[in-house]
Amino acid sequence: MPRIAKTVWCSAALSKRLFSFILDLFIVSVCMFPLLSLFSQSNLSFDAGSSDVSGQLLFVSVLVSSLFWAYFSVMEFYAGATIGMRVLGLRLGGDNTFVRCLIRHAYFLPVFPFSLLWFVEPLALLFRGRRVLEMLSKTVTVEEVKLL
Amino acid sequence: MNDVSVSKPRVKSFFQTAVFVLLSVLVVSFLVSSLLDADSLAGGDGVAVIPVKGVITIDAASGFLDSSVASSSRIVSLIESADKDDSYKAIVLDINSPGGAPVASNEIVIAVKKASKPVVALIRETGASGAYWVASAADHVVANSLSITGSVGVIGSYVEFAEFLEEYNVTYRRLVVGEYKDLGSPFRELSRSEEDVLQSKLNRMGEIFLSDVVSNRNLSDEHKEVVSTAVFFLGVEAVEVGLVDELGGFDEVSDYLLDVHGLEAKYKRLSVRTGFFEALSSFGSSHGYWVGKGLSDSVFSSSRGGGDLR
Repeated sequence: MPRIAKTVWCSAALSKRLFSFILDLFIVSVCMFPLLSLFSQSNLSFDAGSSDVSGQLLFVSVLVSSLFWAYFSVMEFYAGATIGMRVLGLRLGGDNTFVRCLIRHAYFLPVFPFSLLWFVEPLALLFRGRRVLEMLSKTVTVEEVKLL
Repeated sequence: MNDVSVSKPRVKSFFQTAVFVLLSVLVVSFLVSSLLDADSLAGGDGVAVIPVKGVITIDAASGFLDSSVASSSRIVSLIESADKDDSYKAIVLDINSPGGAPVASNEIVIAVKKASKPVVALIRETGASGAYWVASAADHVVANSLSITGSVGVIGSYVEFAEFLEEYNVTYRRLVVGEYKDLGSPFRELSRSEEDVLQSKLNRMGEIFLSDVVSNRNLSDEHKEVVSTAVFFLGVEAVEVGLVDELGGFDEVSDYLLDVHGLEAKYKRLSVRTGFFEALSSFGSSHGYWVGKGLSDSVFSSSRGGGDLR
């Protein structure tokens, strides 16, 4: 009698989540290269005391963060996974709303106190197995496991 | 193992969604970068700011995340392109360098002298030796009162391993054609005549360097004598010996350009097209800066609002 493979979804492994995140950051960064290159061309704000350029850089900084935020939220809401997650066989678990997807990735906001999440989230993921924003948004990242 | 339900995708094709999202990111990125680029010079006279940072060398491969050398090839090409570009009315050399290779420094000096537009050198932390040579070629030199500048001299010192090798029974087998072919080899002791040859070359280089600086800055004999010792000067001392025209920073550069050349400076920093990782690193630095600024502002404002000393 042939064995039938059963697919179950369980909490995603930390390493897979890390690699998928890095892959996503890389892919979006490549698409944002024209914007990112502005930083290396006009780092005048730090030394020239030019408030115009300083304001522009702050604007671009917020825009870049927002684009990252939008990419993760839109991909997870509409496609159920980002490209990195798809490559590594991860998905967003449960039935989610767009607001929940936005909250999940609010660490991209370059303002206090959200910027603190860059330190808090990895620690929570390491010690609790789930990010703080995942708990707040009641979402979970899952991976596909085939059982024979 | 917990079996968790997964949400059904709201669109049929993952591929189409991914392409749409990434294309949107790309378009926004292109639009904003081109708008900012066009806007950056609007409403003023464009002044190209060219960084001369790090040790001056002829060619430098950019590092993985950053580059810490000033490549003369890159700087010369930036000076030439700024000179040809009609949107720039003047050039500012933003100098923070301890100097470097003589030929590389001289290449930049020649490019600065050839420029048809006004060139201002702004010495920040350090503008010494070859970097000062570059500054001296500019029409106007501005430095901070605490900047390190001067050091108009040549150094050719090196570490000699001859005795060290001898102690470990390692022999340097000398195979040369021509008496001075391996002149300056660290593996054997320098003879008296070889030292004289080396010193005479350094003297010659020093003379060329010093005479060009003296001519660029129109130094008096008295000041020439002080400068020729290759001592370094603080910015405030450099003004006294005629190496620097004015103390200050970008504000003073702007005032000079307005008063002397009638230009309302609108700065644009030029750089050679950067690599992906360099751009990413710059964004990281900038992002970190704003995060840190946000943190400090929050802490500062809360302590100011709540604190009361009696």
